[in-house]
Amino acid sequence: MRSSVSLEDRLGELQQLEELPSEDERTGTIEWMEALSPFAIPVESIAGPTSIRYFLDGSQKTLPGYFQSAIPILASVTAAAVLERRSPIDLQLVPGMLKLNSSWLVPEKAESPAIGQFVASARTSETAIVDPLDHLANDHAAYRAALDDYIGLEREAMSASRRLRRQGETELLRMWSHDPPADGSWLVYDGALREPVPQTVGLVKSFNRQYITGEYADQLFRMPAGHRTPMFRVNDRRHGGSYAVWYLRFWDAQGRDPRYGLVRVEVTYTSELPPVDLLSAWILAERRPRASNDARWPTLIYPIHYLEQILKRYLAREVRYWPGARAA
Amino acid sequence: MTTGDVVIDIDMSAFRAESPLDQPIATFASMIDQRHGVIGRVVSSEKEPAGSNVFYFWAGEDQLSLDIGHIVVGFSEEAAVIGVVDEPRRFSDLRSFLDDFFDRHLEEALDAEPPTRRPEILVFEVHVLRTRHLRQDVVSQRPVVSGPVYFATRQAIDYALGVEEFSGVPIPALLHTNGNAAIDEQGDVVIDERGNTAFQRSPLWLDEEYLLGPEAGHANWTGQSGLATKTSHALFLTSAVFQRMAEHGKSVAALLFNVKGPDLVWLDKSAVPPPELTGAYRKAGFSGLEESDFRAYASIGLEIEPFENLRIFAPFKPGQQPGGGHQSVVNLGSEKYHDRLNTLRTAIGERDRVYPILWSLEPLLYMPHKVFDRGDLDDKMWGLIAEFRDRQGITSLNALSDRIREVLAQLDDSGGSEWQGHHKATILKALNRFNGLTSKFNGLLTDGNVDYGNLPRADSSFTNQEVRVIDIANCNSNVQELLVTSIIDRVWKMAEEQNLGVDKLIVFVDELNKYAPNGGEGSLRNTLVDIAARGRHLNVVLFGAQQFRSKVDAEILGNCGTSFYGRVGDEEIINASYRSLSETTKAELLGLPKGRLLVRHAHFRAPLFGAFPRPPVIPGMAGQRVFNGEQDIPVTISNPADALYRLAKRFPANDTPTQGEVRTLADGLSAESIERICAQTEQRMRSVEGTSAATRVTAWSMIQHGIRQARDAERFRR
Amino acid sequence: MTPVTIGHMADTHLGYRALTKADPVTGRNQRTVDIENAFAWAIDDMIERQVDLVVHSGDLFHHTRPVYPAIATAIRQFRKLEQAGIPAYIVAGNHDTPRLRVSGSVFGLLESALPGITVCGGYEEALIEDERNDLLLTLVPHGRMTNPEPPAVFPVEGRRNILVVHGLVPNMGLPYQMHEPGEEEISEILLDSAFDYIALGHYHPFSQVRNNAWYAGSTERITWRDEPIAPGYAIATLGDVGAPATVEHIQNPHARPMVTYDFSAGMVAELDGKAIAEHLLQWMELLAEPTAMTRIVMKDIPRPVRRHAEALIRMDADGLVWSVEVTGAGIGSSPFVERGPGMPSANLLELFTAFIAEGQETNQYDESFAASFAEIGRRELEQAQIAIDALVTAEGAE
Repeated sequence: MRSSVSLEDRLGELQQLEELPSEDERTGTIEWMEALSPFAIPVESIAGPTSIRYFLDGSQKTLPGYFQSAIPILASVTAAAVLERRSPIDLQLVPGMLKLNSSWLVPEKAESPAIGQFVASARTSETAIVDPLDHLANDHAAYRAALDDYIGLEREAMSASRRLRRQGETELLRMWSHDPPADGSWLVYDGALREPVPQTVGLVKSFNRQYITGEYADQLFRMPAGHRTPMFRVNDRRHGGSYAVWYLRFWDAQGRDPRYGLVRVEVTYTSELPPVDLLSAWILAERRPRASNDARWPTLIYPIHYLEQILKRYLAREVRYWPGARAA
Repeated sequence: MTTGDVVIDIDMSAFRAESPLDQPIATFASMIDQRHGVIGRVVSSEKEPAGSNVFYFWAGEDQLSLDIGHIVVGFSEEAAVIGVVDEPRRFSDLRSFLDDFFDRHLEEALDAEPPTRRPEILVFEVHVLRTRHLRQDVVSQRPVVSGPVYFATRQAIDYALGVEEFSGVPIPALLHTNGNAAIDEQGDVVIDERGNTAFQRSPLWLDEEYLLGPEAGHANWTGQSGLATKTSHALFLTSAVFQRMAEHGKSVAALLFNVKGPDLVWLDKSAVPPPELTGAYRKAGFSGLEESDFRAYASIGLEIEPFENLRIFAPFKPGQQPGGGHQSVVNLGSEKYHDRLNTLRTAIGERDRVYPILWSLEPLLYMPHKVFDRGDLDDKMWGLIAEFRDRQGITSLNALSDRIREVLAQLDDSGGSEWQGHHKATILKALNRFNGLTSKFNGLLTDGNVDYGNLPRADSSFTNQEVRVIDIANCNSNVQELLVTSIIDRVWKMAEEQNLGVDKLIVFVDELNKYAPNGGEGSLRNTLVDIAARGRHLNVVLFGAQQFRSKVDAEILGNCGTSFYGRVGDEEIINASYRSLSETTKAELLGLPKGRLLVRHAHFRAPLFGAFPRPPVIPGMAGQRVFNGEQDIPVTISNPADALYRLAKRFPANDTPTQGEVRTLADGLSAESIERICAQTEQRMRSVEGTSAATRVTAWSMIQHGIRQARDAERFRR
Repeated sequence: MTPVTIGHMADTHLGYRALTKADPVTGRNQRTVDIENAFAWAIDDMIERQVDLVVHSGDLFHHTRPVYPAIATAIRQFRKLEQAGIPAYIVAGNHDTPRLRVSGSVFGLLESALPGITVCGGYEEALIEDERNDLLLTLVPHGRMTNPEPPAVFPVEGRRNILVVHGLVPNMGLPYQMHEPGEEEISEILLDSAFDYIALGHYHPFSQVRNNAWYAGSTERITWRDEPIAPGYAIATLGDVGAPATVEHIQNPHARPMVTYDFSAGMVAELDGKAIAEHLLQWMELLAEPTAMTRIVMKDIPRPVRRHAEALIRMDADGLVWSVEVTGAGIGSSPFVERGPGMPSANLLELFTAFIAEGQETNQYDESFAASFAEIGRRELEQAQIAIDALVTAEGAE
């Protein structure tokens, strides 16, 4: 198992779909908070130190384990952590803010004695069991049908894994909300905000949801590097809060896909306007050094990359003592 | 589970294993400096895996004292692996240098700092010295596994050097400094005189049986001249050998050739001046030993002792050798030779240690190839020389010329042209050549025969702790070569006859590339090669030094069990001789400071850097100024009577006096008289050595008698 | 600096006696008289040559307790030097140094009798200045050489220095192996090249052994070892400080000749006493040396034949030569065997050999026994001989 290729590596492009569920909770319409002309606002660089000090990200591995008949049993390992940057060279995980989880992904309701035995044994050794088809628990037929779709089951497993990861991240965000640092330091979260959370910036790299349409979309796609769009407001149906959102262009996209180097920035909106120019300047400063080892570097800030490397090691260590794939 | 399906082994508890290194770490706790703590972690990658000879570790950012040459300990599953740190490399995740350029290619100042710096790790390469398995009877070569790395303690270093297995006496050759702090007996960190933490120092030990034979032997120094490192260290090492051997009841002696100025003629004078000479030393330009030197000696466990039993042998100044006139025999014992010897050590009261070398023709008749040029030495000449030597029994130049003249007269009378089968022309040529010998070997050769009487000879057997210096610094090159060749030959023969007089003899030859060049020939080279090959079984070892290792005969170097490297020039370092050193080590050698050397020794799997203190003797030039009155040094240097004191001490007995007693008794005596008393006493003591007469007279009683007689005689001075 | 001439003599052996022949004039032992005459000749010669000083390098007397006439001779002759105003310096040699330190020596007597003579006969060296001759003399008597510490000598720079010492210089390449009992070796320390002249005594032939060191030689032949030497004394002339001495050997024209004849059986047709005697007497005639001491060594001649020949020779040798000794081969003659008056001239070794031969002839001893008996006996007798010699020289006969 340890040496298997994880689903994430095999089915990489599906990562892009992760944003879908969370953003369903947002309204579709936006409300502009700033003047729309000029649309591409240059971001002035700021002298002085940045207040961005914390970074949050998560990582997951879904590993094929066993199979019984045509039913795969997979394992999920996830990790999420907060990284504190005390100085340009001193980056440490914040103690107590590392969430690790390993679970079996088993469709429990499959009427298979072997699966049942597996589940029972796993339960006795106190390892978590998650059913990737849990959302079909009430639809017996759909559940049965899904069992016959091997590839589909894998995808469900990956989603389940993702959920587990996000769970970890959310727990950390809540811990942050509960006790944010008194010096006003900001946290950058790799992903869209799901709940209101203070002193936090969400950075979204992928483009599943297009908030800006029409002629402004054209201007968005032409935005040069080092510029931002005006801020707009998006409401959160679930929690009743709203977010101030804008786009930042990290790198020049001339001759490339218009979404190249384009990042969406989100901040919880309360009553005050967030310091959009300051935040933009700080975020743009995080472009250096470039995480050139990672193909996603145009929209990946270095500390998040750093944190990812750490988390990957944790995951690798988690699975190190797991047995390799075996077949009878 | 049913067959056909995957076997499920669900014992997840096995998944969380404890660290496999706890056991060796606990067992070898005395080898690692846990007080200092973990200094890094072993890494191995696909491209650079850990092997049995090399492994890598990255160092913690706070390990600022860690550096090349330090000795560290990593672990394999059941063993501690001790190695020496070599190549450091800093890695970052920067893919290429251009990336960093583009990083900065924004509208920002070049020196503006990004908020995050790329992490860099410092990875060190470690060359394994030794592995210690949990079991005593197992020798393990297993590579290290990922795990902590510590600084090695003194016990670990001793183990790595193989000290436990030494069959001979351990000899400290250099002092190794590690990156961890030195701890005193109370367990506290040692602070030096400047308030800094002192680093852990441990001697780098050589096994006497691998340095002086029989297991392996010989030592070699390479390094640029002018830095005086080779000779300084050789003297230091000789002192270490002498002291250690004495402690273990073994006898040892050393033979050196002084080829430059007064370099090696003051080896009996300490580097630490006696109180009354402190001013003189300073004025002579020698500030003495420093605090660090004293500490080094203490760390190594050696005393700062000069070579008491020093004897210097020198031929005469050109044209001043005795002989000529009636004398068919030069009786050196009755000659007043001191003023005429070709040495810089001439001060009365100091020259009692200097003895003459004088040759008659006889030894030269046995080495005609040394004496004559190739062109001169044809079969006819060989035959004639053999005739004179073997059949006519000629031993002196006088006898030779007399005989030749007789023969020529005979031939003239008889009108013949041949004598004993040798043609008159050959005989005339021989006469001509032999007549030129006295000036060719000016100062060494005399006309008559030579009787040394009771004087010591340069080629006699050695006494324990003797340092014998052959001073050829001012001789012409013919004399130099002849003396070096013949003395080394003679010493080698003594070794073969087991007649050295000591358990081990060290022969120090500087400028080895001159005497045994690569691809060279000649009898001296052959003898040196022989010594290099067989010397360790016959208790003679060669301590050789040269500037260019690549220019020395490969056979000699190949037989050398221990090599020291000082600073080497870049022309030299590219040679094949240095092939086995890593790039980092070579780079170190290019800029190695004074007082530091790299050592390779039979027991060491990897070469090691170490430092050494100044030798325990005053440098030659300074000694010349202080003791030979070369400069205007106002302090009364040595009391000539001290020569008498030293002499009395050399032959200890119940009545050995104090220095004060001797000075008082000899007060006012002329230096010539004192010198005479010295010579007479020494000759007498040597002649009765080992006989029953030795019990009846002591050196001091003789000296006292001599002083009385001398005073008596001095009243007749005008 | 005024040159100075030194009369250097040694090994005069006054009091020596040997053989039983008497001087026709005085009736005393002729050999003793020979020696006294030689001594007198040397003194007279030196006075005539007007030497500036005289040194005697030891063995003035043959015994540590010389007989009265020997002492008288010494005093008489040295008095001549005193009267001639020539200072003399004497050191004792191994013959005239007492064995026991507590016993006095004849030199004490001499010193009292001869105020102008400086004697160094004890166990200390002496450093004397001869002001008139501008000379420093270091005198080292034989007794000093027997002390545990060797003598220390200090030639003074800028002055003329002479060393007077008695002993054997090593490495002279002497032909004979056996040394005299009691002789001392002179170490190189003493033979310092800073001395302008080293006046040596003990070795009887006149010889130069170092650049600056000479044996004066004995004034007369003493034992058969001295057969080849030319007895006499030396005159050394010193110039300025550091200039080498010039040395001349003055031979004693009156020394008694000594001649040895090695006889072997092949020299005569018939091996009988008569023929041998005839042969030898003829040789003596041809020798034409009526004053010579002769010695005939007969190798491998049977004893009876030899004795017969000897008897015949003795009858007719008178007038041809002064004395004749006959000895067989293989019997080493101790150089200092003395024949006291009235004792038959018997050679113990000879007697013993004869005894064994007789035993063999009468078949009392078989060959192998006789051989080993002879060997052992010979050795013992030789040792005894040496011991006797030592006694004799130490205490003096009579």
